[in-house]
Amino acid sequence: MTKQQEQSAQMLADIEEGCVVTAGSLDVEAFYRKVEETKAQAAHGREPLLGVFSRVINMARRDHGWSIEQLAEKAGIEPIEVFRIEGALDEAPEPRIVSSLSRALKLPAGKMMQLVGHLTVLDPKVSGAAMKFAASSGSMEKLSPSEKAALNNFVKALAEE
Amino acid sequence: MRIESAVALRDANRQAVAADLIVGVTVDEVDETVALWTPFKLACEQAGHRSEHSHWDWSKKARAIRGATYYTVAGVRIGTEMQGLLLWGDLFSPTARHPTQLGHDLVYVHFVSTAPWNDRELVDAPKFVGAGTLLLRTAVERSLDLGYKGRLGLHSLTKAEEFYRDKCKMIDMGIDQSHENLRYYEFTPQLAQDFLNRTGVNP
Amino acid sequence: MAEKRTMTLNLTDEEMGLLDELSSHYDMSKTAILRKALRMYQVIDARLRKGEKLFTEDELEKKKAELVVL
Repeated sequence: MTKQQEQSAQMLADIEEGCVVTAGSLDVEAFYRKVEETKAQAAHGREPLLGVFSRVINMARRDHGWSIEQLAEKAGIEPIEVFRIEGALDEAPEPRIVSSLSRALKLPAGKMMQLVGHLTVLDPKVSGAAMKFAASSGSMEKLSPSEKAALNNFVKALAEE
Repeated sequence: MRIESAVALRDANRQAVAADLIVGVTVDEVDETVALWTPFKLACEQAGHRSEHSHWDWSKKARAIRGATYYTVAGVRIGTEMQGLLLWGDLFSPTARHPTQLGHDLVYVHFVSTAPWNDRELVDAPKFVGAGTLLLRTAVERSLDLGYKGRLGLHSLTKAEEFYRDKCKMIDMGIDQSHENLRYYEFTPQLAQDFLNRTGVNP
Repeated sequence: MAEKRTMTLNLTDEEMGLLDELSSHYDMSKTAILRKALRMYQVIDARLRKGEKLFTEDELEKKKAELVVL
């Protein structure tokens, strides 16, 4: 702590001593309404398409025969970021991440941006195809040996103190 | 964007304690803060002390503004514990009402509150003093940085009027009937500069 | 305060005149005007990219006019 910070702390406290400082609205609903007016809103029905994005990335990666780490390296992003994207997304990943992953997986970056909502209006052909993909792409296959090993190791680690 | 800088507050023994000023508090950090503040607040309420703003939900506020670059949450933290939060708007905000500043941009403080253990509405002996003033100073600095010359506006809750009028020396613009009959206060550029001088900011 | 970097701008006489006028009307430095313009542009641009349209409204005349953006 510098001398100046110390002095400043005393000055701040001398001003605030004995006082209540709360300011704002009591009617918070009015604030939320105002924020809605000034802020762009997420497009309707965005959530299913974020799920489609997650699944496409996951399946494209596996189709290339890459691990999460390998894809992360090729895309120049952190493995935990890939993991997060392949899991449940509640908001669109940053544009640079969408474009890095698309390039690495040889997917059309523009269309991928539309899926997550970064580019203009969603082309109805894209959204239609996305819905079809979502319905048909759930895996019913048993786990592969490496998936099984990874799962077992993780469960074992969770069980340890 | 998130910026952290080193500051200090005063504790109950009148000693300066190192703290972190955060401009751009994340939603996760706000959630952690709410989880930290709520039990103490509830304990106060069970003992019969309830603040005017007890119903405020900072997590909901933080989520409402997420993605909007013109709203910012600032906070001051000691160790891992947040001691105060402030939410300001600095674009598409209300403009100055004072006759000498009419129509000019200002930073508008939408909400500011201290941690319940620092709140004079709930406790007689705050754990740390100065968080609110420091956050207000940060909002004034933002106003300067944007070229708004320190102009700032806010609506004070009833019990804080003395603080804004007498301690911060903001101009009392009167009861605002369009805003829940709360009293509206403003800093002109000159008053903002005086306030900065009194809070230890080198010109 | 955020770190800043310096940039050189080439503006036409007309653009410079516009900047001077805005700066004097709003009592803000030219840099502050441009920074504000950039921030406003980002917000409007984000909405346009989502497919929204930009309107101005005359409250008194109850008229709305679309600002056409190509």
